[in-house]
Amino acid sequence: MTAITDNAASPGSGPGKERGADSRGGLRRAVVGSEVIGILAPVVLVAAAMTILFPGFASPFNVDALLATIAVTSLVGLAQLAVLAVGQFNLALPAMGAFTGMVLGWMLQIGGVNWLPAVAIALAFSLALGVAQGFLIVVVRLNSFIVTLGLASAYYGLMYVVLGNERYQKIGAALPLIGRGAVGVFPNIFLISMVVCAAVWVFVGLTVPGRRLLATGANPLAARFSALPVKRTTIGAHALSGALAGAAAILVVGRLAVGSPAIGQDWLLSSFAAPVLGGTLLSGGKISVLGTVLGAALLAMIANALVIVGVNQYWYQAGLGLIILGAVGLDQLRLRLLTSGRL
Amino acid sequence: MSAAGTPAAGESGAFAGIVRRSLSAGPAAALAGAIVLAAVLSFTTHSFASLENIEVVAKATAVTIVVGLAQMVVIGAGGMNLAVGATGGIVSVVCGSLMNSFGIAPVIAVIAGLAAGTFSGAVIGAVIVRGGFSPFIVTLAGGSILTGIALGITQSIPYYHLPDDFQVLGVADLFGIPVIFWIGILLAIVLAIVFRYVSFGRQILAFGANPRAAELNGIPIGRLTVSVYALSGFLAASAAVLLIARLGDADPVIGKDWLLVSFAAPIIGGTRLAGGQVSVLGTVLGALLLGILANGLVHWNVDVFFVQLISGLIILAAGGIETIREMSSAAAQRRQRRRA
Repeated sequence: MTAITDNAASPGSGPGKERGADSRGGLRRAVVGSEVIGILAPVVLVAAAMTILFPGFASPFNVDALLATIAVTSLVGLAQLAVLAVGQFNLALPAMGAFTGMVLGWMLQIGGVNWLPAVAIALAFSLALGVAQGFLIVVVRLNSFIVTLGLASAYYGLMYVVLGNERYQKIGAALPLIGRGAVGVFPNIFLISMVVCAAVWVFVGLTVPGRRLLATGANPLAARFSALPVKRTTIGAHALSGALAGAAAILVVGRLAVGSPAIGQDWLLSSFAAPVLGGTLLSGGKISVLGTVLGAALLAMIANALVIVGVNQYWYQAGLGLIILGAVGLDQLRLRLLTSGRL
Repeated sequence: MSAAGTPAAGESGAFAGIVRRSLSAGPAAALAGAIVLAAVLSFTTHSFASLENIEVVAKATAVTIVVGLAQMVVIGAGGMNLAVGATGGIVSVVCGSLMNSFGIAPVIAVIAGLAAGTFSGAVIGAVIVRGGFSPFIVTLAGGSILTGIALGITQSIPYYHLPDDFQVLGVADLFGIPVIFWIGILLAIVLAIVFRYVSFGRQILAFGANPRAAELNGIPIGRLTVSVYALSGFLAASAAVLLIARLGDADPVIGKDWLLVSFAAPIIGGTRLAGGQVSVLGTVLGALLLGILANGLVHWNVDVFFVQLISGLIILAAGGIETIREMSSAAAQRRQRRRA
């Protein structure tokens, strides 16, 4: 689990510096490592409390639903994480998910495309949505916030204009592998999601383009002076964001056997909440893939618990806002303690 | 009516200068766009230039003006407010519940609604200051909290048919112009005076242009930030009151479509996205342009789905104008520095 700390390029330090870890580096790593413990503890706590208090929580049916939610929320969180890594946001995430889900639904129901190529095309499509976003930010040099705000509306509009307000419900068993199957207690979509998460973890932690992502986010100017391809990296971050949003949408379509514009409509807040809960900095340069997955697990369990207890979903939305504020607050506190040298 | 915290860069080369001047003259560009669009609509449709329709446009524009101003004041201070729509929603619920469920006089209900919006904004500002968080995440989370509360209280059911003596606000005319339009213009004039002549307004722009310099000059930036978000909340609340008066119902998600226009109106009108420079007149004219366009799309029988696509493209175009403006002003500053 400590290996995850390799994903942390401490803010302000240029690329390359992170290798020369001194004695304080060890301490810092321990603190950064505790972020994962900090999110793991509430996950275990909530799970234990719910299992004891509500027998229905650990029932096979509920565990299946819970793991499916964790699968989707993890990918949604990682989709936001990809752009957070370079210090930007993606407000168009829900629109990208909905558009991809609709395109997949159309291919399966109307287009008569085989499921495997359909999934591949859907993934490529979502990747392209992300590339277009990165292109507008990096090459056309529009303000990144305005771009994702505008595309959030433009992608929905384009989707409705091209495909209409349809619900592709006659997909049937077109996505058999992704849809209903399970290995033991683990639904297939959970296993697929975890494989993707592991791939992202390897990419960010162990590959050169992944390390560039973090270096760019930690200090864009230093990255540029170090001759890192900042522009290409930023476009890549948005491409990855789009592809992960698309992957999440594909899992939803497989699970529900429906392609509809409603896919992704509740993603935006959890896409920020999951990474932030896991200790990812909003300013860029420090991310935690494992933390994001655990953050997604916590969110899914809280939502699930509220349903079991019978709390209205509207209050969950209010709670989600409080969770985000609490998580960034803890992060800030941790950062202050770190920089004040009182540790 | 435009005001800048930093002195504008000096004169510049021929063509670049023309481009820069015409684009940095946001209000003029927005006005020209609005006039051209209105002219085209008058010729291509029978119904646009009718008196009733102009009244419809004026009422819709009034709300857009105030929504745009709610965003403009925080942009001027270098921040943003993603919770303008959610603030409108909670104000709608406060006003609607007080009038319909508790039978309280409309005047009191409106005052309570405005107070609720101002308070929400102040709390958001205080969280930003005290926590040292980015306005993006605080207003995103704050918006979610406010929307959750508004929906939780009402179970997502609007307060239908508000009292007639409140709805009169949305129907009444003064000198042949809807009262709610007058209110929007009045708020704009007050803000324009504040940004030009009042130290509070000047401090907002100084802070937006350069927070560090503002702090070193003794501006109480913490209190200023709280005040700016409170002002934004007040304006969002005013927009909500105008809108529920016009519609006659108080919907908890009344502001769900506000986010795009709240950014589009000020940016089209020449407000600098990075802070430090606002244009009240530009925001008013930007809102007018958006109001005419939204109305025109209806008269042209454009599919509602196209409207969403076009809205997205408009904000991207506004972002493009902003980029050109920034690049040419940076170039002008470089030239000036070289000359000095």
